[in-house]
Amino acid sequence: MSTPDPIEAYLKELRRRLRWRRGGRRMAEELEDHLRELAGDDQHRGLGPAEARRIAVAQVGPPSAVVRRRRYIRPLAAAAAIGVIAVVATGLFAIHGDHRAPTGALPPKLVSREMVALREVNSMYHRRATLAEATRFVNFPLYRPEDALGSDSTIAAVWESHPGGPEVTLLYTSALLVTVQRWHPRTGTPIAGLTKLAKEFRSSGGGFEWIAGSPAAMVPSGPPVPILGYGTPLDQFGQPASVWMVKNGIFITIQRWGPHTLPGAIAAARCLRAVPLTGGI
Amino acid sequence: MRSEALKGHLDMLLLAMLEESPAHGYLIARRLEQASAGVFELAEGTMYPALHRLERRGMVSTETIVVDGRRRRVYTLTDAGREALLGEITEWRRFSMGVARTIEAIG
Repeated sequence: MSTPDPIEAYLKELRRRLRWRRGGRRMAEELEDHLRELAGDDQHRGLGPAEARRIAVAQVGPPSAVVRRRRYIRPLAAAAAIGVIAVVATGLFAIHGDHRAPTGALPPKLVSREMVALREVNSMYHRRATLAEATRFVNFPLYRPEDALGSDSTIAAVWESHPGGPEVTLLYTSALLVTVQRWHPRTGTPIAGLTKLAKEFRSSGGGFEWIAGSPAAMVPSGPPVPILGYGTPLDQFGQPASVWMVKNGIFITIQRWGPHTLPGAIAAARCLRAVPLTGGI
Repeated sequence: MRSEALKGHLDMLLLAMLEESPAHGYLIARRLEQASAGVFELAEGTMYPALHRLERRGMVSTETIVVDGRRRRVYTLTDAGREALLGEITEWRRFSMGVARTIEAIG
């Protein structure tokens, strides 16, 4: 008498427990894929087929545990909920219209550990602020990349500081760090300062150009550096690529983190055209 | 770490495993095993209900592909998932730092 295949036995029991359940078939499919891949890998490591299957089943855990962890949606309740949501959503759409921004290739995102590091390192130098506070502080519409970069949008953190002049820094989940200020120690007159800065970085791919009628210096990204949070090394990641530009008398630094950084920073800088930077800080 | 201790953190860990790139369940489990150096004793099957819950909440999206004749779901972190992960990590760091300081204070 042959021993039953443990994976087949497992799946049979799982399907029995999941029958009539919404999503049960999908769950069984995913677990079958998982079990077969697990057993296959163990066989490649030298286990016999039967042993590999037995270990795979043990590693996945009993069907009862899988079913217990699942909160199944009852079909009728789900249909009712979807109906309610659809009615509400239709109403909201009618009121607010479609605010989705134009689609297009979006720049890369920061990974979360970088976001956390950036948040913490900025918190050490700046005072955390709300977006409303920052808006009052700078007294002009804050740069919002979602206006031109689709869903590249959410402001993750806002800081204020006074490093010789008022300054607001915005961290977006889109990997942009935008600093707006009216004073900067290195620039002097905007064009002279920016061209000087561009010369410094020309050998490594930097440069000077006019972006949407505004002088701008490009600074390429640098090698990874340790970022400290509360005195503890959090991570290492590259210096961001930056576009330093002066627009309407306001000094704006756009830093782009992650791969392909300089094109992303330049693209973001071009988007400033869409934003009416009126008044001043 | 026993699976009970993982309750409440599993969602964050699963989202974190998807940050690098999209992955199917098996690969997520292997990443988790590698990243945690085997600290978590997780029945891997229990990961799927959590993944489905994350999908319902819009934290991950899925795509079905066929491999070796089997249907395979590949999970991708959404913008909302990335946001949630960022918040969870920040909260966790604050919490764990508080616990560490408390333990240090009592010697």
